[in-house]
Amino acid sequence: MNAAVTFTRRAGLALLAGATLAAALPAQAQAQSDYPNQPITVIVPFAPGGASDFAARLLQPRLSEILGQQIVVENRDGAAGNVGMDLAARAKPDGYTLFLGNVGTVSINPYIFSSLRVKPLEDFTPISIVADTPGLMIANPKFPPNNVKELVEYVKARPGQVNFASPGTGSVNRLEMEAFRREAGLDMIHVPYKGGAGPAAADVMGGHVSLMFVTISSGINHVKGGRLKALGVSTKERVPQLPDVPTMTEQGFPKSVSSSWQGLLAPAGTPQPIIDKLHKAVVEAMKDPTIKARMAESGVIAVSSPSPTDFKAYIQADADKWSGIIKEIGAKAD
Amino acid sequence: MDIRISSDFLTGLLFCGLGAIAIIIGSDYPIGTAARMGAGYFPLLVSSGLILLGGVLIVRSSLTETQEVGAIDIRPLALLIGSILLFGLLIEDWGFPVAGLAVVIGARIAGRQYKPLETILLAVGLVGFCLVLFSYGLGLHLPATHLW
Amino acid sequence: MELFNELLLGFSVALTPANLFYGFLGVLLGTVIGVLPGLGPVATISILLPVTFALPAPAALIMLAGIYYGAQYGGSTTAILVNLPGESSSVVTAIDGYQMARKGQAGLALATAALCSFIAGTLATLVIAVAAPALAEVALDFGPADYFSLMLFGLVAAVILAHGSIVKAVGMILVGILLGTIGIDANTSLERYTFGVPAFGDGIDFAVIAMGMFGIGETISNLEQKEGGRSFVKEVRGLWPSWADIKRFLGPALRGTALGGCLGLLPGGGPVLASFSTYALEKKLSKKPGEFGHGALEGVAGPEAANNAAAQTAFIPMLTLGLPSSAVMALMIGALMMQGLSPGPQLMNQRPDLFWGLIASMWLGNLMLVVLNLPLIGIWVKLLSVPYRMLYPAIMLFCCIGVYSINNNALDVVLAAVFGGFGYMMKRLHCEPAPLLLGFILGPMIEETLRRALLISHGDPMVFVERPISLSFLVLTFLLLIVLVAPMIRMTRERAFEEGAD
Repeated sequence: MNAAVTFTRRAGLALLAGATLAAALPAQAQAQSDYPNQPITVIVPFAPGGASDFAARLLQPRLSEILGQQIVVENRDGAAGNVGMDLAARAKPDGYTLFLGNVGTVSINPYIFSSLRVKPLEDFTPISIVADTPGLMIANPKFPPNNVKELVEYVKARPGQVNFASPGTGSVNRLEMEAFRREAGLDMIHVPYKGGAGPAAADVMGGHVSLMFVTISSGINHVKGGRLKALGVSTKERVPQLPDVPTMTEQGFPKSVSSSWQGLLAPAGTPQPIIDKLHKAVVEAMKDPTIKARMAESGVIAVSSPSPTDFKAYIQADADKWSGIIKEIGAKAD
Repeated sequence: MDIRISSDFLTGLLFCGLGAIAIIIGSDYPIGTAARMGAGYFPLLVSSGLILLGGVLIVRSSLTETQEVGAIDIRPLALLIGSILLFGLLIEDWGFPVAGLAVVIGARIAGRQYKPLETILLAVGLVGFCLVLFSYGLGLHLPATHLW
Repeated sequence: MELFNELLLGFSVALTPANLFYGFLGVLLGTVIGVLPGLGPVATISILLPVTFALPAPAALIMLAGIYYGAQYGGSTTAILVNLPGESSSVVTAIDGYQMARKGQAGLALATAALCSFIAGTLATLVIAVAAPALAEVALDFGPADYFSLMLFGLVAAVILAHGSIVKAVGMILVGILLGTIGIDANTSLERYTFGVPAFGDGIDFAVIAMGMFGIGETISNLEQKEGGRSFVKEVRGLWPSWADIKRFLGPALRGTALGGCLGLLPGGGPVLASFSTYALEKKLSKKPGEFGHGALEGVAGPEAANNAAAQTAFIPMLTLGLPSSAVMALMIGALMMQGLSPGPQLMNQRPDLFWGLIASMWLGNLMLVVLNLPLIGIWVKLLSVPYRMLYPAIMLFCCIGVYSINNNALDVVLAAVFGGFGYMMKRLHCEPAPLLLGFILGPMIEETLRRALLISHGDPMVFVERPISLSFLVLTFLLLIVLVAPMIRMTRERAFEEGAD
């Protein structure tokens, strides 16, 4: 009956106990062999209920089970995820504070926000990717083009007249469209929104803006419900949830392969044995059929990196790609 | 402290000052065009409006008789704000119990009827109550005090 | 008949003992946290959301709805009792509610707020049950230009909130808008007025300004008054509304429900716009507009009904289209996703038990709110009879905890202290804080929609008059301006007199 109340109280006590332990026994924390011997905090730099929080909380029970320690998800949102990332980067590198980064915080924000002190690739040691969410190009059903080829012809005939929306100036969805636009040589007007994909998608539905890229999880239901139409998906192969939607590659744009990923990172300086132990645990957790199924329901692919170095290389490649686009379009804020 | 200046005049001065500060700080924000407004367009518009209104108030205060600001009691103003600032400065490093005691005691000193014993009892009681209800009961994250 | 069956299905889901318990628990937790100054519905739901992940879907949603209403009402409670609007839509409640409390009518104000919220909640829930899908279409028709004109109308209406000088009220609105520009500019990612502090990237939190300007500023001026052992309120009069009171608040409650129900459909400022446009309407309709700002019952009834109706209809775009119209709704969608459900038209067809269960539980949430809070009113009012020297340190402590807990950031507390000083200064200069707060809330939306509308129209300003919705609001704004300016010339002479006597 009283489950909810005792749950919070226990969590509060655990946090308190954790804090006391951390302060009282700094020297003993170096004993890596018995890691983990206290609760691990995962900092999610976005509010509860978002895509990052969703991934973290799906992972939480299984990871706790594998590591034999409680995982505490802590939401520290603010400034496009920079507040939480800053906090995580400055945490003690003892494996008890981890960071759930994503494409935005790790591969894009450093090139958008000049005041950002964190350099993700230097300040963090990557552990593993956990979720991969493809991008979906959606349009108002009354917008004439029905696929990417028709879109290119349509926009070429009307340069500077077609508007596209995005969930934010520095969002991966905006950059996906910019990358496509440059590849196809199209002149379109960017209309940025804020507060997630919702408000932007609503204006595409209402016909105020013609098209946009969204993550497949925020667009799939509207496409299935017929309020939006899908023009293409940014994966190498078609996604099982939307088998009729062709990929961007199929339609002649092989460079339009991108993903909104989520992954686990640790503050730089975390001992290698701990990183390896965490990596092994994440790989095992991501094999869990419940996690796979729950993610698939909302269009997210459950994945893990073959090794921490692989994840680092993945982030590096992603960051190089997006920083290139940001430089070209001059989205940097100075 | 008794201020014998027209309140309209001071308000006008304040509005002008705030508008001017906003324009100066924002002077390097790009203005852009109406079709593609830069980050500086809207703040400039609003600040100019504020300066204009401030001017109206200043002019009006010199034309008609308006009310003076009157007496200001420095003690509650300075001490109350000081005690809240103290809470903000203490909470992260010294923890909630210390910061909480500081704000309650400071607030009591700010008032006229400071009684040491009553103040201490009130402070301890309130901080204890908040710890039990919010920190343990509802799981709010309030930093703990470490005395070692 | 179909509707009846659907509602029956809904109640059969919501009315299990376990679900009722979770609904009650949600209202209770929501009220307790919501009473903490600064922690409005968004913060409260964020804190409690993880608790619901462990529950089955209907119980989780019912509990969340309870938390939402509880937190919202908690905000109104502090607004009335100690002049601390816990969230943006109770700013307006604070204006007359607090004055009522000072006159010893705190019980009446709280009971009126609870009853009017309940009336509005019941009617709005019925509207959702009957017309949700049709109304969602209306929300989609609103484009950026239409929003801009609506917000402009809202800002002009905000001037009516002030009972002093109009020039000062407009100035305070502009100061509020300027404060609202602090943070990362959504269109260019440029940081404006942040001084390189990352925590300023999202701007200043509403609660920081509200706590400072209302709570702290008010306490400073209370401490200043010389009469020493004076208790906080005059003698406490009747807790419950009389028949005369009920007759008096029924009209405003119904008008507030209608206005709030419509505005709640729109994303963003729905409940805020609703509460103060209702206040403006009631002030204009009243035979004694002079009472407004000095404890008018209508000034509590109308806005409270409006913000609750808006809080209710805000569910419509989320339930029918899967689109969040506010931060709270985004959290609700997150909660649904954790349950493996995605809101939208599919939810209505595939899980009618959940859809109608949620609607039934909304109404039950409203009912529980009244059941829980009416008995509490006696206790709240007793609290006010505590000597002020014991009460205000407690208020300051709660303010500090509340403000700190929004982001667990000590900087917010420091800022609240600064705004406390600013609030006190403005009070002495006879400038009211309410217009500033409304400018602060609406300003960013005005800028956003203005820029977006002009981007979409490629710089053509005609977009504001070519769209019928936008044009209607512009015409209304113009008419309102005439109503405001006409008596101004006449008032200039009277005001000098009035201010002299104040």
